[in-house]
Amino acid sequence: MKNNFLFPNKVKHLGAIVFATMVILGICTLIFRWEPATFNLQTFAILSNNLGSENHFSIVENNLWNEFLASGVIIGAFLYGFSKEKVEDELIAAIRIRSLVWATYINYGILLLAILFVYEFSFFNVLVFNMFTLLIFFILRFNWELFRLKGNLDE
Amino acid sequence: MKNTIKLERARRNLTQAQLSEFIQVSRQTINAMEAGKYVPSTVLALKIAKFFEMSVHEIFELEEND
Repeated sequence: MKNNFLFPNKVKHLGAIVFATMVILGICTLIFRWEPATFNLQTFAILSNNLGSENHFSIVENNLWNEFLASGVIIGAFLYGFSKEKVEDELIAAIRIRSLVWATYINYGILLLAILFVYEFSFFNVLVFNMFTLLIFFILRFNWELFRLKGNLDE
Repeated sequence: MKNTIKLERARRNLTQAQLSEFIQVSRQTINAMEAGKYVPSTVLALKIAKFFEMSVHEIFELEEND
């Protein structure tokens, strides 16, 4: 089979665990505004501009909890959503592509509405969520379609 | 597109699992093709024909709206 840019099936479960854990931790962090102090570290920054100061390629001090969560959600989502199924055949590939198109429409449809109707600092929250929603919508749709496909078998 | 996969399979007394193993797809895919919900690629159609030792034309047929 041609290269389909997918991870092996083995990592799918690992991806699911990482993804679910990071999403739950992320939501808790957003609700409780919690950042563990152990994540206060010095780190290398390509860009780190603040009001009035500009820094390029410098060492900055930052709480890396957000970075840890965001990377975790993205890596988990990729491992989970873009791993091969047990039998990765052409029907699965078609469903995968269809789900990705659907997710892209929904994601940017919502973003478009948010651009028009959400202002000031609230829009920052939209941007935070929008970093992950394309992957999340894709995962939800793809698994829903797989679930329906498997359901059809028992009819 | 219409197909006679289910018919040919029944005629030979074969299960969806046996066919799916030969053409290397999941059982759901066989099911979707038999139900007319999925149109297989040329490669898959040729594999199915090979399995039944028939020509593709004998199994698959275009419909008016195709």
